[in-house]
Amino acid sequence: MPESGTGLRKVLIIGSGPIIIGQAAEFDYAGTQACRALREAGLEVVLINSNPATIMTDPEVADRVYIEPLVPEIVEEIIAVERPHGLVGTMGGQTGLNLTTALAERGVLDRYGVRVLGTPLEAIARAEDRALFKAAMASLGEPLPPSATAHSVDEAVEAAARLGLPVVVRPAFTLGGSGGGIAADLDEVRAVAGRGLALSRIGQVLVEKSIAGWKEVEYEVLRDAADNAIVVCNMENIDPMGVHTGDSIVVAPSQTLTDGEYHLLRSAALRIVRALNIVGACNVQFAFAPACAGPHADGVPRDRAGAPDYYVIEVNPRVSRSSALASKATGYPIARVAAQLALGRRLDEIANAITGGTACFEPALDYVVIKIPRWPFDKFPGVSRVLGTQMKSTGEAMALGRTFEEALMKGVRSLDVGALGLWHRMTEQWSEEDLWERIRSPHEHRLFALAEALRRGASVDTLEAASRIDRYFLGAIGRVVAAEDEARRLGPDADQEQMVRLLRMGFDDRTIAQFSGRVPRDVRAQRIRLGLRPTYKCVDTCAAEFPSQTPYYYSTFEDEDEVPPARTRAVVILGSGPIRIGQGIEFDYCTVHGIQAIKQAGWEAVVINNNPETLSTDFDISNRLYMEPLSPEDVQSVVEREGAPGVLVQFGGQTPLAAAVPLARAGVRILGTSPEALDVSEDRRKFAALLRELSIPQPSGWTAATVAEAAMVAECEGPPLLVRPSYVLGGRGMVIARTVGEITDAARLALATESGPVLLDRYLEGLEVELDAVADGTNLLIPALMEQIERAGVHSGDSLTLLPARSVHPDAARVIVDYAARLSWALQVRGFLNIQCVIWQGRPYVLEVNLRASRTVPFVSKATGVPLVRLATEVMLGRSLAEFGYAGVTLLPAPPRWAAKAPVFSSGKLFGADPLLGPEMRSTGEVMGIGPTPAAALRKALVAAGVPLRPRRTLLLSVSDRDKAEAADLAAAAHAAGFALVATSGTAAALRARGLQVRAVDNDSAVALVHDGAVGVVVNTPTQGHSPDRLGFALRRVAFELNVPAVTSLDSARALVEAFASDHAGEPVPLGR
Amino acid sequence: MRATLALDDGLVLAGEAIGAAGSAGGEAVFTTGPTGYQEVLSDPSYRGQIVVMAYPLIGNYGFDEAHLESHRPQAAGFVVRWAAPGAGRDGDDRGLDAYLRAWGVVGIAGVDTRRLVRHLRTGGVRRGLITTDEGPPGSLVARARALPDLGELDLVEQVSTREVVHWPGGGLCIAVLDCGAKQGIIRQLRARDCEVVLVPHTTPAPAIRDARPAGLIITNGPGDPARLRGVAAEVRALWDEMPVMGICLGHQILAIAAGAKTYKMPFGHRGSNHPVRDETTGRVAITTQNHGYAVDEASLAGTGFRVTHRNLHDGTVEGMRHRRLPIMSVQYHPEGRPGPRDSAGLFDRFLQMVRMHA
Repeated sequence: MPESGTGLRKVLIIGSGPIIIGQAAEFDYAGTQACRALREAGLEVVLINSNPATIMTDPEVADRVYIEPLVPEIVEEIIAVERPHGLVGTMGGQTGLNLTTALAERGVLDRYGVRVLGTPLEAIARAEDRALFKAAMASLGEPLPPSATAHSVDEAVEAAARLGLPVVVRPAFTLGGSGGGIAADLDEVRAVAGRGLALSRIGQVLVEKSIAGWKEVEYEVLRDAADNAIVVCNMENIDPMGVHTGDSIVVAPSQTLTDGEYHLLRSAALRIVRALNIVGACNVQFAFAPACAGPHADGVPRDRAGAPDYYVIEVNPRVSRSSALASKATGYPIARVAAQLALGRRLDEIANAITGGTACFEPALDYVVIKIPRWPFDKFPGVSRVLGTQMKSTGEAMALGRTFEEALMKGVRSLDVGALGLWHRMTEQWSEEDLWERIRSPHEHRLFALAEALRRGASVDTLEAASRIDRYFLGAIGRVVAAEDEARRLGPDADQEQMVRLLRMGFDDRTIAQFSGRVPRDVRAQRIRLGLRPTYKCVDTCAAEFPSQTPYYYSTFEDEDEVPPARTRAVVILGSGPIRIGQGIEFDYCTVHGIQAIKQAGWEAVVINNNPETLSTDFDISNRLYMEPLSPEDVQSVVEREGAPGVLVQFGGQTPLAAAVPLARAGVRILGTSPEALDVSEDRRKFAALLRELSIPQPSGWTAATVAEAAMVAECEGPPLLVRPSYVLGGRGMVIARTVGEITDAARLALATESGPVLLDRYLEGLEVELDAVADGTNLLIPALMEQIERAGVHSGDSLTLLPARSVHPDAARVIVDYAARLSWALQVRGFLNIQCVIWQGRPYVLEVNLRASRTVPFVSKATGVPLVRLATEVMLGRSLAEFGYAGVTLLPAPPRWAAKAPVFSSGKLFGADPLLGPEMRSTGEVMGIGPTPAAALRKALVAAGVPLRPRRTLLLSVSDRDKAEAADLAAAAHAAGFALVATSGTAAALRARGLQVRAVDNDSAVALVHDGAVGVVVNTPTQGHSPDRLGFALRRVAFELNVPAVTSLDSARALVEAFASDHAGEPVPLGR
Repeated sequence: MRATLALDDGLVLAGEAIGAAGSAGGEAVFTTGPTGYQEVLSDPSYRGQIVVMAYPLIGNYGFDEAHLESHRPQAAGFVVRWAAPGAGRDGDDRGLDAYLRAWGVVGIAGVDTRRLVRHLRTGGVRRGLITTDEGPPGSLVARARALPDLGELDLVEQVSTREVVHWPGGGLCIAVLDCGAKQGIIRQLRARDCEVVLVPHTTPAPAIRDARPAGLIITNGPGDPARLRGVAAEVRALWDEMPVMGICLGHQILAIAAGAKTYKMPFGHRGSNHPVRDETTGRVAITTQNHGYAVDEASLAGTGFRVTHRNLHDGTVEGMRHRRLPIMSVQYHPEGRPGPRDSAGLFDRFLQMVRMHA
């Protein structure tokens, strides 16, 4: 029913844009839920997001979808065309809030009469603006950590002395909190404040009393316009204050708070949300004093006059990563309800989709939920693995169990980091010093370090003192470590009681087998013999108090299993687990579409996944959701429980694909392309042999087991070569070596860091072309060819990409299509086929084949309108492409409009990581631009990726010697497009030699020009090799801080010049027009 | 040590013994709150009941005096999925096991409590036995069947104060008719500077009158309210004279005093998350609940009482008020402990009523 009387019929929802650290798939989940809720309410929904790899940008989700840059000017144009009555900005993370605020400040909302729905703008300002927030909390009597601003070192020292040490010193207005730190004494205050004052653009630092070591607790609150408010979930960070909550291991509900403490903070959260006038979802974070393990029995602070027992840390007046986690932890659909609250409905008017009762209640859990972050440090060797107030993780895994230990062990298993429970082989190599360093300061591997310390005999008291982690959690880790001994002793004749104790602690067959020196198959046989299979319990929001049909399950080892018998044939589909670089939200897009296709095909879709941020783990997407690790063993248990005829493994990226062969070996049927074929595509040797057999050219390749062997290859074959370890995901550890010395250096590094030989491939510096296709063993459908703007050698995930390919000669295109067809026949591909080739000297070479959905599937689907995932799923379920009108080998004609894809990096979040492009993928997300010309599409994509809508038309060039000739071509094109040229001395000389007008500057002036905002675009290609490149780093750093696009490849620069050659930005056009 | 839980309908579950060895019988009920195990164990309203904790981890943050609702554990037996070994907090390493043992309470851990909750939810609450005795399941079930029904027991007698307890205060004097009062109620009154006179549930009206209270609170407590007609009669004798507030069992006693009926619910309301709408304001509060009986709304017709609060889940009566007299009552627990403090303002509302009347 449209909201009668309010004049509200059409609503604009703002998405969150590309995935960056701290803003991930949770906003696709939230936004999609919101779209559905609003459409169910009878409203017309217009959606804008620049990220194609999202379900919310599917044409079925909203009435009109704009894949456009999330900048105020473009959103204004959309508002002018669509004339929505209302706007929801609280579903798109910080991006959505900032954009909403900007639109209001520019008067756009007033001009077009657009109402902000849900939490009012003033409330957002009160929660977001530190000064307003401070004032609001003061008038409410809610304590904030005491702080002061200082403009000199002396002022900082004075403030620190007054507040009490230790203090946190933060420079004002620097991105990513760079330059701040904790100071334990006044000398440290002087040092940190001095550095911070120099870094701050306004010469100001914030000195704040440190509450590192306090417990960190969060409450997820929903409030309606009639002032009813509920807490959906509370969560306790196992890592105490000092670690960003996104980087903390989190447990729900809180485990170490008494009822009085729980409600002391709950009451405070409700008071705060009411005082701020939030309407919708809100997250409130508290620090709770660890020392006050006191009564708090009445839910009132013990002593308001003295030091408070808690501080309010932060309020997020919107749905967030935490609210997605809380939704999945409880089964309560926060975003869906929040969207209805935004329309002015009361909580007690909204139904609980799970129980059929009211949404106005607080969920009760009868299980434990643990979230563990996953970090990208393997991609950024230079980045510190110490955690702090700046979030660094890219994704997270969630696990449920009936004991803390069970949930923890399942969570670690879901991370997919090669650990056996809390044991990892790296821990044994740590010296005592390494170990305690990882315990004292929050570290990526702290969980493993704590377990290792207990293994080495440390006491809980010592660990508590060193880590300030609550002893309850340390005790649980200790019980797991103790159980490792039980696992070691578990013989083939162990009885049910011995075995069930381990299973209930979360040990899987593989872990038990490793500890007891047996093979997993035997342990499994023993377990089955003892009648021990997992039982699946339902997540129902109410601890079984009310009947519910929620098809949302987790495993444990108890008496009763609650999964009803399947009503019809069910197929199991595997998700992708935690988001990591190279395995991002694209795979959740594919999983969700796979689920929908299975349902359309008349089967029941059963999904296994453990990523709480995603849409695929929303309980009403599939027919049944299992929040479980994706290990072959966990998958097999679900398949057996479901009696499913097979598993689909092609949707979730590398993780499910890796499970295919072990699953097949265990007797589970893999639907679609056979596990043998998958193995051929993944095994380099077998794959090379296949290409030879098919007479398909590929770059020559060699393997070397030692540095000497690598040196021999280098000598005989010569550079340039691509050097990489044999186990590769997303190009990890891959290097383009252009000299013999570089080849041996790279080989040495690869051999030292990874087991197995090093791989050396001929590097062909040509045009890289990629395709995503669907095959059924006979027929093949290729919607389009894509070309990478960056030449081969830049990871395809990090390259600007254009669809359709414009630089591929028709003959070469025909050859590529032919190779694709022959490969699909030879491998009998049933499902996805992704091929990457390089065209070198006019001839295509096949680089890589992936027999699974690739990162670009959503992009291709959106650009061409071909439902790739649906077709692939139908094929995997046994249908032929011919039934859909694609008999034979089909390359579809070019779509009417061009599409470009641009990568987005999270370098700011990983201080020290430099966004230089290379064969190793570093981007965390992507954006899409659509336009009538390649230039228009590229421009949209670049603007969506952060390039200003109208950059200052001054180009600063500073390129390496080998790039100088090419840079001159670029500069000429830029000049012709109206760009003024500035260059550092060497580059300037090269440009002048070509007769170009250029202003030459020295290195310092170059940096100063960028700093002063005189430069619109920086083009800086790094000097080759690993020599320190201080100018380049300084340029990129200052450009980054000031949001000036800094391009590190000439290919990107050329595209940028082409894109901005015209001053016209191009109109936004809805998808499908 | 092994322990067994047997229900009168034949369900038998094995687990590990916690607390005292021996046997304990009672009505098996479940509660869903994730925190507050100390408050639950010591809440006199659980007298005669075997409490099943739906939240699986119990004892995580230890035990201390401040979180007790009465001087001892009151539940007849305790059923948990997992009992924390020793407490987490400094200077106190009493675990659940030790606490129960010290008071002779029989408990069982390691059972599939979710299964048990689902069983009780679908089949209704029923008699159960926890025992460390060995024996064939059939004999344990037979022993459970031999147990008296909760409704046949005079449980209030076991938990009400034997003598009058007096807390001086500078404010209004409130008599508290103790049917098994939680400490939380007393604390709420004392936090508002009330003078509190706690009297046994058997106290006749004149004796209460003699204490010259400005208002009367009838507390929570265990068992079937229909057994307390005597108490209801004394309350009826007083309610023309002073404002009265009923909490939980006290609310039911007021209904009986008014001539209305109560009935036994299939599995009651027990937890910290029940939404209750104040029908006078339209506002919803999240409440603590612990009751197995409820007031029959239809039977309130003509009694002078109107329903002021309803449960959002099932529409049952959660509060009422007399149309003419200053009498109010709620089925839930505005004092929380465990549970939210959202409704603590009801005590202010009552004291305001008392002040107006004085």
